Amino acid sequence: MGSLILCHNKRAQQPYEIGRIHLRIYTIEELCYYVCNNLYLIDHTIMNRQLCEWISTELHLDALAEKLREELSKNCSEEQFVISLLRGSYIYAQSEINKIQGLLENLRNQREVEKIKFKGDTLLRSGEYSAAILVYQSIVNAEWDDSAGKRFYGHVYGCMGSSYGHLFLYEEALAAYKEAYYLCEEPDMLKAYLYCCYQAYTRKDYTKMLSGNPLFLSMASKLKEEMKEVHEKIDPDVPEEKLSQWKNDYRRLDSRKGMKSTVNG
Amino acid sequence: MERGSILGYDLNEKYCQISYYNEAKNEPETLEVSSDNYQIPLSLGKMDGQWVYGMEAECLKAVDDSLFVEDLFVNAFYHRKVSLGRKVYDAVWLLAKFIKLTLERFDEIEYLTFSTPFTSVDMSKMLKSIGRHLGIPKDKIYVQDYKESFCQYMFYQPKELWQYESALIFCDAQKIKAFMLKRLHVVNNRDKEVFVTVDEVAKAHIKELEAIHLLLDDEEKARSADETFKAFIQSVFEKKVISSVYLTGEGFENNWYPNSLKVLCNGRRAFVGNNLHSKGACYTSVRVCRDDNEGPVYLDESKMTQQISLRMRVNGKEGWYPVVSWGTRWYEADGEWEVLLEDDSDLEVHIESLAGEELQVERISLKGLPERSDYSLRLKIEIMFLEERLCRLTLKDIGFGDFYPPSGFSVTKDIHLGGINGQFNSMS
Repeated sequence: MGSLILCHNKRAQQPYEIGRIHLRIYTIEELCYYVCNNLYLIDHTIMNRQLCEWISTELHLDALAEKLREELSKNCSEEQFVISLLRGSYIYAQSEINKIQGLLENLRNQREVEKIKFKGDTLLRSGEYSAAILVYQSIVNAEWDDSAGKRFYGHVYGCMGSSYGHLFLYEEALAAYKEAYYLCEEPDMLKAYLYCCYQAYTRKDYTKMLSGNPLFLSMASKLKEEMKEVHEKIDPDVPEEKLSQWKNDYRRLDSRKGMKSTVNG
Repeated sequence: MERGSILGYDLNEKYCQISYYNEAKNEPETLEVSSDNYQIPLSLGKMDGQWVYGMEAECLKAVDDSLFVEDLFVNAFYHRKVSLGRKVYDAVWLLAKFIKLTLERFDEIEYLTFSTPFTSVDMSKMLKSIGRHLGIPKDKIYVQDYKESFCQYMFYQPKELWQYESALIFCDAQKIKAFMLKRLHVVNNRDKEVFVTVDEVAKAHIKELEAIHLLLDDEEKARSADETFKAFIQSVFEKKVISSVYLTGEGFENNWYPNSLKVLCNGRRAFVGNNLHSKGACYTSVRVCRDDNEGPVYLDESKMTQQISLRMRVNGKEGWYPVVSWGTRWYEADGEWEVLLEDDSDLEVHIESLAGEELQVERISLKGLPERSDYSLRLKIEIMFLEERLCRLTLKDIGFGDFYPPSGFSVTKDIHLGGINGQFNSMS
C-alpha cells in the first residue's frame, strides 16, 4: 500500500542557490533530496550560516535552523550536519537516515579516487550518463592511485561502459568494457563487452572476433541464450504513449540543468 | 488600536459584539463600547459623505431616518437592495461596510470566527466573502451558530461545569428557549474522542415578559412571569444532572425571576451575561490558531459524522491522517496538501463513520506515475465536495522544483459518502 509524507507548507520566495551547479532550492524536501543525492558534494557551499538563515527566514523552520547553527559553532563534521538536517526536517524515515549515515561513514574512510567514483555512481544511478562518463574519465585520465588496486580501476571502466551503453554509444562502451575486463577479469565484464560488440559490429565482424577464442565463444553462446530469453519476455510493440514518454525523458535528461555543470563544479 | 488579533464576532439581527484574545491574560476579552456595554447596534448611517455605525448611527436616525439603515443581517442574507440617502445599496455591501468599521480598531487579524443565530452554506459563503473583501483570507474565517459557540465556550471552562449536562437559557422580550450541551454516544470510537452536541430542548412564550422588558412597573406580571419561568425550568431540568446553567439574552437584564433563580442555582452554578457567543467564537479562533485538536468534537445535523483519512507520515509520526475530519461541515471541508510519495503502489483511502463500525476502504491506482528516485515524487492532494455526499479526491504530480518538472499525471477518485441524514440522530 502506498504511503505518503506530508510536506512542510512553506515554500521559499527566495530560493537557496547551489552556486556551482546553478540549482535553485525552494523547499526543505528539495534541500534534503539534494543533500542525500549529493553526499560527495557536502562542503562549505551547504554547511554554512547562510543556509541556516535561509531555513529560518524563508522556510520558518526556526528550531531546525537553530540546531544547525549549534552544530556549526561546534565545528561539526559533514556527517553530523547532514544527519541533524535530516532528523530535524522529519521527512526521511529513520531507516533511510541510518542508511545515509552508513554511506557518510564509508565516504569518510574512502580514498580520494573512491570518493570521485561514488560521485560518478550517483550520477549514473540518477540517469545523468554524460555527466557520469566525464567523472569516470577524470579518474582514469589522472595519475592512478596504486593503493586502490587494479580491480577498482576495472570497475571504473565498467561503470563508464555502462554509462555509454545507456546512451547507445556501443563502440565507446565496448572499449571501456574491454579495459574493465582486462583489469579485473570478471565474467560479467566480458559478457557486457561481447554484448556491446554484438550491437556495434556487423554479424560478420562479430563472428570473426569470436572465432579462435574458446572463452569468447562460450560466453557468446551464453549471451545469445540470455538475449533470446529476454526477447521472448518483452513485447516488441511499444505503445505510442510509452514512446512519447521515453522521448520526453530523453529530452529532459539532455536539457537538465546542472548536468554538465555538476562535473565542472 | 486593540492588541488582540484572534477574534470572535457575534452577529445577529440587532447587534454585533466582538471578543478578542488577550494573550497576556490567556483569555478572551469583550470589546466595551461604553461602560458595561458590549453590544454594538447593527445599524449604519451616512451623513455628508461620512459613514457612522452603532450608537452614532442610532443618533442619526433621530435626526433623519432616511440617512439610516438597520436590519442589515436579514437583508444581506437574502441579498436585498437597501436605500440609504439617495442611493440604493446591496445589503451585503452595507453589512461588509459595517463589519469593516467595527473591526477598524484591530490592525491585524490572525483568525476571525463569526457566531450567528443559525448558519448554512449561504451564510458561510456570505460572511467568508465579506471577510475576503476586508482582506482576511477565507481559510482564516470560520462561521458557526450559537449552539456551537456555547459548546466552544464550555470547552474552555473548568471541567466540573460541564462534567454532566450543561444548560443555556436564552430569553428575549417574548420567548424563552432552553439548550442542553451533552455527550453523544458513538459506535466507532477507537481513539476515545469525546463528541458533544447542543440540543434545543424546550421553548415557551411568556406573554408577561413583554411588560417586564418594557420596564413597566407591573409587579403582578413579574411574579406571574417568574412562576411560569420556574415551571419551565423544572420541566426542562427534570431527571437530568446539570452541572451549570448560563442565562443569556436581553430578557434576563431585569431581575424579575428571584424564585426561578433558586431553582436554577440548586446544586449547580448559574451564570448570567450577554457575551457568551462572542467569547465562544473567540475560543474557536484560539483553537484553530493553536492547532488544538485535543478537546471534544462538536457535532450537529449539518456536520460530518464520517472521516476520510490517508496513510501519512506527519512530523515523523506515521498514522492515518484525516483529510476530512468528523465535525466538519461538508461545504467547508475542501482542502489541499502537498505530499511526497514513499512508494507507488495503490493508495488506500479510509472512510470511518461514527454511526457504524464498518470501515469503508477505497483504492486509488497510481499507474502511470513517472519513475523517480526516492523522495522526489511530489503530489498535490485536493479534496473538493461536489455535494453533501460526494467528495472528489484528486492527486496531481506537481514536479519537484528544479529537479523534476510535473509529468502531467493526475488521477481523480469520487468518494460516495453515506451522508449525515439520520446518522446524527442515531448517536443522540
